[in-house]
Amino acid sequence: MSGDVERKLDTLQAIELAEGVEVRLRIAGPILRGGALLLDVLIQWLLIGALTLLFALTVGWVAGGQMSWGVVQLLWFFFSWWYPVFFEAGKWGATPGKKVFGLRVVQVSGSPITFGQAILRNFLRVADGMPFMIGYGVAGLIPTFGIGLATMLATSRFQRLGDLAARTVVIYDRVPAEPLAPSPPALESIPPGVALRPEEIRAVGAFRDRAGLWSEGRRIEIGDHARELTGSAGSAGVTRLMGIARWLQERK
Amino acid sequence: MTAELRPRSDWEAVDLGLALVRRDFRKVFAAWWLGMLPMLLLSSPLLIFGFPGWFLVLFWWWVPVASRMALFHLSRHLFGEVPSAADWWRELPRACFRRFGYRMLWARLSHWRPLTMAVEDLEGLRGKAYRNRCRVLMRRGDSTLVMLAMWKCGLTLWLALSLFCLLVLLLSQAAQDEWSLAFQMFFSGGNLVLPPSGKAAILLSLMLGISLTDLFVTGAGFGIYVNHRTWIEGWDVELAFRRMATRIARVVAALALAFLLIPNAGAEEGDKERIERILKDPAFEVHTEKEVRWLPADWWNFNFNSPSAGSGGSFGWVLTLIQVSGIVLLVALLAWLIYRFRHVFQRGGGGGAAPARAKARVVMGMEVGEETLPEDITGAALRAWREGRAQEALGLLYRGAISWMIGDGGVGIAESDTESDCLRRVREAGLRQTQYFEGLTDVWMRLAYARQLPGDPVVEQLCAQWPFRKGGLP
Repeated sequence: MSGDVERKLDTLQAIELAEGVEVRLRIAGPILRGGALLLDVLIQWLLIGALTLLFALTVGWVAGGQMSWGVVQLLWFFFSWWYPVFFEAGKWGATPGKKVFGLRVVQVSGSPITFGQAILRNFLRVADGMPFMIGYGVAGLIPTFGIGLATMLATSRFQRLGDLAARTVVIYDRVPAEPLAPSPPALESIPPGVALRPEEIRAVGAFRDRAGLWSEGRRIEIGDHARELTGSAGSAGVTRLMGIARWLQERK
Repeated sequence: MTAELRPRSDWEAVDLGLALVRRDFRKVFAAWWLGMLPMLLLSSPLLIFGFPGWFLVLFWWWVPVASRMALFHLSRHLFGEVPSAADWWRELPRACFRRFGYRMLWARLSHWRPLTMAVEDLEGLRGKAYRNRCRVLMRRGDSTLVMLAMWKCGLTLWLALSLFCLLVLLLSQAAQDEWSLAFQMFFSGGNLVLPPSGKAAILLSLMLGISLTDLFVTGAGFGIYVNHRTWIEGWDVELAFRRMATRIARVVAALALAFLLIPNAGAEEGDKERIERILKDPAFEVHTEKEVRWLPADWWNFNFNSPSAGSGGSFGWVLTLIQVSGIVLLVALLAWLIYRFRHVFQRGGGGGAAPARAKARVVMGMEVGEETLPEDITGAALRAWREGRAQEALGLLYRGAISWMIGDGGVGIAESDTESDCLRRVREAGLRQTQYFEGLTDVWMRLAYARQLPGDPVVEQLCAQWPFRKGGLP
């Protein structure tokens, strides 16, 4: 029946599990992910730089330049291809950059990603990294991630090509707590005259929790919309609404 | 409302804004370029007379007007009406001149523009009211806006670069060579002298980069605006209360109707209609499947009792004879096959579970695999005994016995069995070696659990009488 109504746009992705349980994934968009990517690249460069220095001073000293150049190239390969795979397939489900920004990679169903998915989505970075900047001299090929960005903006779950292929999404794992400013507690608890639906109970709860963020006038304005429930308007209505909220909370 | 309103975190609000732009990207993009149109027309002479740099500066300066057009479309669509092209044209002059001095000169570089533009455009506030309103909206912090502005700067150039690389990819080989020569000259210290097509490509990618970035950042700013208002004004709560009010009003009206004893056919019919509508859904369609199967009885009746068989005249009985004899032959063949291969069933029936089970390799913590034992068990055991390693000697004998029981004797000894379990199973198997095994088990258990050493003769006798030979039952 909800098919009749046009689906509302939302940033949450609802997934229905068995027995009517619904999980909502907070899909993360391209901007924070871009930040995480920058941070990861920085970490990779620092690691490669440090290890290169180390090898140049040890292996290079003993075995000569060619040998250490080979080792450095192996290092480069390992870090650019396997660094994200290992971190994302591991316990964190996120590269260090993503971890810092509070992001996490999960399957479309919300469960942790498998090793195969981590390989797929990260090896496809090459495709997402196109078009490449043809650099001169040492720079070589630099990915601009134009394709990845375009795909992310074009899909409803902000998935890049790698995500689409591996059926994964990136979600907000850690959301900063929002300030709640409840108004003074209600003095009496009032049972509502009508049986309320779950979403209505939630709305009454939200009114109680956030009323302190609103001005007095606005509180009354919102409370007046619930006149059918409270049976009174103005600040008396707001007081009654608070009482109903208290009753609902006590009953839980 | 065509999007879900709920209090979100700041970055989720940005994502909502991006999703709003994505939802009708083509229209918003068109609206943006419509906003750009006056400046394109005005500054096209600059392009013709060879000042692409100045053209680009003017293009960039005019961006807020285009953002306004995009915001106009986005906000109208969010609240449920999709503006037409005529609405866009009507909005265009307002977008160009609304608070021109403030927006285009004084606050042109403001990084708050994505948020504050919504205040002046959608709420139409000016002066002190505008400033107060912005301050209230900014109470939730503007860190996201600052980050957004930084991203906008970087991303505009980066996107332009990306687009330029894309264009390079699509170039013909000749043009590519020409361009790369120009760049090589530039990088080796010369002036950048690009062919006209290269200049056009750079200009185009910059313009596209600016437009795309500004479009999405405008959307993101609008998302933040909506989210801030949701937090500080409780939009979502207001909407939920309104829905609740309509529902309660309906319930009350229905109750009133019921009390007035007006035949509540209307409501009932509504329910009925609803049920029918739901049942019409493909998910509730009843599928029936008809399966036709020939049962032997039918077959018999069809062949022997059907009138056609009977009316076959003098040949009817010949047909019947052939059929019956065929069946008899089949049954006889089956019986002979069963008799011929009876050992399969006998073996299967006799030792049913034992052969099917995997053979035990470790019993009571002792390795009993054949390959873990020496070839000459008794010899090795005697040697060990004479050298004073009693435990090892008898252990060898016992392991050897168990190993033989599992392998050649066909006794179903499981890994979890104890000594007495093994003994019981050996007795049940009724082998010739049962008596010897009883004696061996007794000696072994006395040694293993009670530390009672057997005498030399006992051990020598056990070795001499060793009845377990390779190669099946003797």
